[in-house]
Amino acid sequence: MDLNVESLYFGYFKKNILKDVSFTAKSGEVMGIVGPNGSGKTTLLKCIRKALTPRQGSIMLDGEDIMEWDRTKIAKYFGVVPQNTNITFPFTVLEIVMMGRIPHLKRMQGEGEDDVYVAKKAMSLTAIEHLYYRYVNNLSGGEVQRVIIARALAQEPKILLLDEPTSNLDINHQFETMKLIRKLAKDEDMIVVIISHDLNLSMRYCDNLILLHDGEVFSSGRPVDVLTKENIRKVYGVEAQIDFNTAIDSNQITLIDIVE
Amino acid sequence: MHNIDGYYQDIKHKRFMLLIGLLIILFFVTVLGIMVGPVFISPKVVLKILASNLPLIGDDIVQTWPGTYNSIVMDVRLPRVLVGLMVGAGLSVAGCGMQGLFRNPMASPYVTGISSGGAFGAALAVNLGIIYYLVPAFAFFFSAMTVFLVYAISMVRGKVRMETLLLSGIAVASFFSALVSLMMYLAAQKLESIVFWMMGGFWASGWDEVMIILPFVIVCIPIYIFLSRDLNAMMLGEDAARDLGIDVETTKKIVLVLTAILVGCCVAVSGTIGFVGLIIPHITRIIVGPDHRVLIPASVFTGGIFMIFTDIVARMIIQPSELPVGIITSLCGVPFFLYLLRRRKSSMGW
Amino acid sequence: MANDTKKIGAVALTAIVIIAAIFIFYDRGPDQDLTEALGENTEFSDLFDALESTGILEGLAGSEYTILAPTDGAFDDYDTELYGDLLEDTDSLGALLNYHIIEGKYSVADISKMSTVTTLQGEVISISTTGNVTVNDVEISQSEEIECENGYIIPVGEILLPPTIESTYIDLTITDAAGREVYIKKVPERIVSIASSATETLYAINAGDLLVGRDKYSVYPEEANDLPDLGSGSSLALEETLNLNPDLVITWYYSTSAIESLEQNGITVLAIGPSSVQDVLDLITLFGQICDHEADAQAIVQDMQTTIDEISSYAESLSEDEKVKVFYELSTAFKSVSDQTFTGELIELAGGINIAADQEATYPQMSSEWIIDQNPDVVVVVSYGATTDEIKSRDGWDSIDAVLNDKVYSIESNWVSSTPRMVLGLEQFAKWFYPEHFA
Repeated sequence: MDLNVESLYFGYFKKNILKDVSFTAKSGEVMGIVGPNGSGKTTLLKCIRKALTPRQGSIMLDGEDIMEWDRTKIAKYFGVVPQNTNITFPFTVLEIVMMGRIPHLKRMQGEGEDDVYVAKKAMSLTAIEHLYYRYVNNLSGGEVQRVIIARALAQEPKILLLDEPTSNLDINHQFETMKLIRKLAKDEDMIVVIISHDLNLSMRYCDNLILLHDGEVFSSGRPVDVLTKENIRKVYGVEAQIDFNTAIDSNQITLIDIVE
Repeated sequence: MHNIDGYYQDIKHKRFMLLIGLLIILFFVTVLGIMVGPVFISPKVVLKILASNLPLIGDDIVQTWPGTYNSIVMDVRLPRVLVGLMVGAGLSVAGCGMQGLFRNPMASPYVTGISSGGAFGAALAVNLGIIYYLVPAFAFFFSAMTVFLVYAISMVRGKVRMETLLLSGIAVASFFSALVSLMMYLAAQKLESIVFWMMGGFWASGWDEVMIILPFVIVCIPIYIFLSRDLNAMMLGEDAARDLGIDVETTKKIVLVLTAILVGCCVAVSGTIGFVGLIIPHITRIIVGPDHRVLIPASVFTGGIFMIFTDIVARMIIQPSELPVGIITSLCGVPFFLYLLRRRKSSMGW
Repeated sequence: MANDTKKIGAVALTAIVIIAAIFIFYDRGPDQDLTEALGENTEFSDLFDALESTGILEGLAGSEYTILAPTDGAFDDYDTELYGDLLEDTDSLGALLNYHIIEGKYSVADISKMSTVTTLQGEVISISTTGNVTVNDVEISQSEEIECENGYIIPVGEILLPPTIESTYIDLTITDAAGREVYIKKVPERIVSIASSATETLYAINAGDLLVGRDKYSVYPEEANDLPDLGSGSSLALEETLNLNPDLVITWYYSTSAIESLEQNGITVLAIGPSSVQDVLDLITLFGQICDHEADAQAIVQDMQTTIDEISSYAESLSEDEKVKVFYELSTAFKSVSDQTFTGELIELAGGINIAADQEATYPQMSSEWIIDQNPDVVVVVSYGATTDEIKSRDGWDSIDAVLNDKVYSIESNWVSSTPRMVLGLEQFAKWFYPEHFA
């Protein structure tokens, strides 16, 4: 299954936030979206799932134009993990994960055994089964993150969208999350699109990257081709050094200084 | 291994039993409300009176009590308890809705300025000398108007931001409060009647009031239950709810309209009774959890229990004189509110 | 020859001495004009100055007058605190002096034969002869009178006050309903009343013409509405009030802010707060005193007392069983009055038993079922409260005697508050409670 974005334009009034954005994300792959703040990353992610309506352009999932889809259908295909989640009421982990089943259930229909099964599977994929009875408010940041991912997974989505999933996490949790994301893409054959501002993690764990600059696709392709010294200089205004590091079997970007 | 299935079944079962339990308690408190009053009537006689008014077996019961007792039980206590039940249920459910909508545990059904609007409507009617049975209509009309006004102010490009709603609610509430003060200033002799509206009470609740509020309660509360899943999803945040397929804007509109109608009715019938809409959802959450599919029906029961009980206290504590029930609910409410604030970081944690 | 001259000389000298002595020491008799006599006599220097400054002195010369002359000592004793202003103003001083002058030449003996005499000022002096001769209770004696060519000067030890003036100086100290000591020197001529009961009372004792301003609630009687509206005790139009230049403002005892502002501007304020039937009667009497309408006040009080006595004596003649049970309702449903209220007192006076009389609160909020259980014979509601139809249709009230016998009444609120119209309320209660007796 492919996600095809063609010539996407989005803006408010006279302003264009996204201009002529096109890319393809394939299932089984992790597509990363990088770029400075204000380059339109979150907006792009919202447009992809029709949370915002683009001015122009098309978004096709497996050959179907999602602009024709209703909200519930989108929820059956797209699982979203937002940047921050603040839950102020004492829901248990199980209850939160089970909410992911909402798109699949009719309004007054109760959850059945199969729904519980899906929730369990989601929790086992994210390794939070042991937390099922705990209150969400008492968990650590990393644990909450995984609960939200599990909830998204409980929707049984074909495509998983994550907005900066690692920005508030400890280093170890960051690794765990990125590894989990790759695993989901590979093992579950999902399309995964992830926004990150951590260039090294993106280099290491993404199969494809889009580098956004002022709402336009500055560069796209494999991470080694996108995150080059010149691109980093032009888009971020930062001088970088890129070396291949055998310890991680990948390029390592060292940021040196801002460009004068 | 983690027995998630077992746990899930357990929880469902437990919550169902709790609902039944609450219903039973509600039933007993209702009967208690009919039995207790400044005029002592023995419980046996009360039950006989109630039975004698039932359709089939009624004629079989011989009257051994004075006629005034019949009036007291059937025309004074029974409707009063019913109104108390419905107002308690209505305010509690509306409170759940508001707390869900604003994702804020401090929200109450009056947060959109309804109570001030309703009080103003009543005060205006009293000052204009409007006939007594139309005063509730005025209160209701202005309550509803207030909500729509607040909603209209907060609407930007077809969407309503809850923070804006909250702030405009505060502003509109202050505006109407000032108008109420003006009404009180101009009122002279009728001042007392206006004060009644602001303190809230059931002492004048008869069958008329039952008939006013019953249809709205019967219609509105099931709609809330119908929206349980949407409210649950909105707990995750508006965007997350949207991503789950929920029509957030429509849900907000419906909940606001329901609140306007339901709370408008309650205010019209018994004035502004504070704290019920704030505390009961919390207490109910502690008992049955935050899932609205259980929370809302449970709130109907706990709200009814609380209201009937506080009304019993209000009319017995200095009997045969009465205290406005709003005083009792506030006395219960304030310590609870402080307790809520202190518990913010605890294991129930919000 | 020389001896004869000496004799004649001695006799002549003696004769001259004797004649001179006679001239010097003998009372000249009625040869002096009044004005001269006054001028020369050091005892009447103050009187002389006063007569001169007012121009009356000239008028006395050559015409016949009798002057009741206050001595300098009388001027010293004069209560300047109270009457000082009379001496300062030329016109009032002139009038005061003219009150001491009588046209015609009368001795003390002549005066003692009269009972009253009219003075130049126009008002009358009363004369009494039990014991000594007195004018307005001040002694005059024959031995002190001075005869002049055109009249008599009769010394008096006090300055005499004309009755009308005396009656306007009431010199009254009252402790008012706010616990303040209020001193009223003269009968007020410009009264502002921001207490409706006071307004009503003033009109009732025919002193309404003294009013120059009212509060917005003073709408009875009709004429009161012509007076300027100055707001109310809690929000007074201070400037306008001061502009009216009142010499007395009457307020309710609880209008503390009005009292304070008026006091700060040097206005005399009287605070009222009648809370019982007797208080209202006393207030009428007090106002009669203050406004010099004592006869009017007394007439009204007597009239009211007769009605009150008639009704209360019937009430007292009834045994507890014979008395009717009454429920009185205020503007909020089921809210009543205890015996600590004015209305409560009226109900009792009229012979009713107020079922809420013993409640602790002054305006207790009762419960509907308790009222049903008490089963009152009569229900009275205040005019701005519920309608009688509403009350009769209340749930559960159809078993109450008052509703069954159609004895649910509405009463005008002003008839049961602390105003002179309370008698109307009392009478109405009597008629409703005991219709066979008070048809």
